[in-house]
Amino acid sequence: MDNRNNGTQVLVDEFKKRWSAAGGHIFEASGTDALGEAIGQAWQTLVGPPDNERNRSLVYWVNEDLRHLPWDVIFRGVGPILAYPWDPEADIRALTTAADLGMTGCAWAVAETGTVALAASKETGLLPSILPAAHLVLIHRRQIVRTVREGLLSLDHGVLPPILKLVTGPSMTADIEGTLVIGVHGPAKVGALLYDLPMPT
Amino acid sequence: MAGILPSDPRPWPERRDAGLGNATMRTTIGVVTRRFSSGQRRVFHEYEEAEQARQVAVQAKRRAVRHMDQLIPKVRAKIESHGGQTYMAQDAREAVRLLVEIAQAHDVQTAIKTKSMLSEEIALNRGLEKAGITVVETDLGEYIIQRAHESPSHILAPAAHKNRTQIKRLLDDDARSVEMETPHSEEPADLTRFARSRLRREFLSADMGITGGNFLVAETGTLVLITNEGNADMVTSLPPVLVSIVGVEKVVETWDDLTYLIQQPAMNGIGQRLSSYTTLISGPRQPGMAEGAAEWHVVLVDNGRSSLQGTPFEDVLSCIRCGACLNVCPVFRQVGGHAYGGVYAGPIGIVETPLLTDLQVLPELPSVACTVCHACGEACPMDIDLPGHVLRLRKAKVARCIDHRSARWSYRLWSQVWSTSARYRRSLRLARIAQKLYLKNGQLKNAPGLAQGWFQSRDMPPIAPEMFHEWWQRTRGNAHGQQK
Amino acid sequence: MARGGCTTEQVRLFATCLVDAFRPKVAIAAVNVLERNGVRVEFPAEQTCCGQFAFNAGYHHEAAMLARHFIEVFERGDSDIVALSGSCAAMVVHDYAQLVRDDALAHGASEAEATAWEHRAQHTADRIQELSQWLSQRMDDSQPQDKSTVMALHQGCHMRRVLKANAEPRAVLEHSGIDVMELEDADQCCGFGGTYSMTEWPVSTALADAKIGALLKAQDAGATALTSADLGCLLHLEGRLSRLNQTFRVMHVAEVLDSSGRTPPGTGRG
Repeated sequence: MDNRNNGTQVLVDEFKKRWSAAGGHIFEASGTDALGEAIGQAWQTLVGPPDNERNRSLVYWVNEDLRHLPWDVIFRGVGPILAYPWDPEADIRALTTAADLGMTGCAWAVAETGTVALAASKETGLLPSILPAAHLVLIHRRQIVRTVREGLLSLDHGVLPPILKLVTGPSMTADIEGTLVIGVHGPAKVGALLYDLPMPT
Repeated sequence: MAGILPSDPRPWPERRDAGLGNATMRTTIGVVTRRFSSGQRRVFHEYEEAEQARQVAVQAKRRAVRHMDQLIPKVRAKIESHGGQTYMAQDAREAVRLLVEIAQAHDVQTAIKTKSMLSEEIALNRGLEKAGITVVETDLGEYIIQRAHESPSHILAPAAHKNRTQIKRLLDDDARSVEMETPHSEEPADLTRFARSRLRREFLSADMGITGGNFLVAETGTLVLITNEGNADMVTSLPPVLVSIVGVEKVVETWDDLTYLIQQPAMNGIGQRLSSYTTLISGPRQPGMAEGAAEWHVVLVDNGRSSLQGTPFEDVLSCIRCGACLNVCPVFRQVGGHAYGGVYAGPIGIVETPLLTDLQVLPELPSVACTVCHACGEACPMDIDLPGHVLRLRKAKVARCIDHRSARWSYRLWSQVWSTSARYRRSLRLARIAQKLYLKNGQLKNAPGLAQGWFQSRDMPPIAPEMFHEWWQRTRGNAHGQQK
Repeated sequence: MARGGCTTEQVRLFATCLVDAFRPKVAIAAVNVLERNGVRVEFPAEQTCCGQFAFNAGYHHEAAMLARHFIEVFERGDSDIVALSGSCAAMVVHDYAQLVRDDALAHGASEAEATAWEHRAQHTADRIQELSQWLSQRMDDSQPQDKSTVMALHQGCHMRRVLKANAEPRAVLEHSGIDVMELEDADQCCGFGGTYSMTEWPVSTALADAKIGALLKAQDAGATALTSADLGCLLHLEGRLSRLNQTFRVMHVAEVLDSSGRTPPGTGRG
């Protein structure tokens, strides 16, 4: 193991600690073959068992490094789910509103705060992270930086996306008698799936 | 130019006594403020680098407010280069007029809104509603108090003065008005669940979104919004038109400055390293995108702010509205936000409201709502000299004769008498004779003049039969006590 | 137990107006404690009041009159000034220099005259300390045999946040064998605030009641008295207790040190 990997492990551990402390769930997959199983676990935790009354659905996009994967096959393995890939041309707002889960990639993540950053573009929409009651974000272990500052400085701030958002835990409020309630306007359940890929030879 | 700020027409004693008499409010405010302030202490204790970052952040804000004049044209040009539109409003009236015009130009029926202290300051909702536009507050606390036609009682917990039963009643009424099922119970979780589905409808159908802003970065033209609920994400990504109203003091110079500032509101306000949602808007939606407003209007508002530049009060402009000073203020914990009678409560409010209005609005605040305990000065992450400003404002009030004539004469007489020891001693001996009128069971029960207030609720021991200087004179004589 | 008990250190006592008039036994106790340690106590007889009441109310010219008097009384001599109030000491340390300078300029003095006043104020400010601050620097490191007397400590706000003398009262009390109990919400103001206690008595009283609530809890937990380095806070709380027909012993730190069998500090220099 080189130092870089050791460094990554420290950041991954810190991210897991902080993300969990903020109320988020952690899932892990080593290699692409394990992704399906991890997503299945995430689905169970964030959405629950299959519902015979109606079809469950999700809207998703993933980072470029995972786009080549056979996603239809992967989701079929999870269960009877209608999976809609993010497509700004379709009636995506209605589909996302009705979805049980939004699944996205991310721009980077922050260890010290347990934060994920999502940048809006044609291919990488933000609605799946905010409209459904649950959000699962897929993070390559090497996308984790130490501080918010590092993450923000890694962006080319000459051409920022129209919307960049930093998510740190689920939607919450303490507006009624100071009592903490999870899940106001955004998702009540958030999960982070940490994956890695074999190093290119 | 002085700003225009709304204020409660009731006089301070009435507002104060309403606060002191509201047990629900005092309990909730007590819980919330203590949780937030202990959170602030904990996060700085656990997070080694936080203090260093805070100090850099203070310098960034200081620089920005000093150079507001150069930064404003810069940020406007940047936003416009990204396809946004910008406006400058000198005061509250102009700001409201601009917003009404933007809304009317787009035939807006309903606007959804995130929490914004500035919008309260300019009484925006009233202005829009007068023009026939429905405004829906989407922060849960703001939504609750909007139903009650009230103003926020705490920057971060606007409905902290209401209990669950009162809230349930308000939401029941709202449910009936839109033919929805009422909340299942008065449990906070059920009330929140109702608000989620109730406001979801508004999010998906509103014609316009309105936000405030925590920071506006000149270098990149980026607006930063911080929430825990996620409502700012909805408001910025769903309606076709987005209007952001931002105080001119919110502009910071560089992206690098932002990297130090971005965590400050959450760390100091609620004791978290970052709030659940931090949203950074740098322009309207680009072609092919499914979210974000097609049009983005940014209205910069001065309303008295630039008049503080170059004065000893300039640092007030570096306030990041974290609420840390409210959370530690003993007076705030007793009387709650409404007693202040203005938009800004707590230590920052008693300084800022009179300052923004050239002491025209709520000038009593620095005198009546501060024990000079310095807790706010210690808690403020931006190192604003709040206790010093309270004393400076009290001094300014005396200089401008905004004080009671009787108090003025009392202090003048008193300082003249007590500035020599002979007169000081004589005055105390006289008082010792006079106090017999007010003695009962060995305690003073009343006294004339300024001191009367004390005896409304407290006793006082009498002036001693032998005061210390008399004891010294008797026991030590001139041994080594006398100077001359 | 005392370090260098035979040296003769000298201090000038600033009793404060409240102690002088309403509770002279605090100053007598302070004299006892100091003299028991071989400290020679001087009482500059011309002293009156630090002027903080006027200063906090915005009457800076009036406060400056008292400040100038204070400076004239205390600027002569190089021995330390020991104040029997953290709040009054804070006023001298934190506010005097600016106050007399600004007042001089506001009343037609030249820049040189204003600066001269500022320097005189600073000279005085550099020498003043609150009693427990002064004593804690001269404490030896012996431990008391018995720490069975439990007392609740109220730390005045100016002591805590302006002088930043948070540890000192506790340290000297513990050194004298007192088991010091922290009040719940200890960092919250008791509501005294000088003339605030008179002009805004409803808020001031609400805060006193909050502090008394904490005090009663401390009493249940074994505290036998309340002590503080500031008589203003103590008179406010004691007066409120009296009006509520409650009895709880209230003592200034000097009184506690005097009445504890053990004299706390030594008098070694430095």
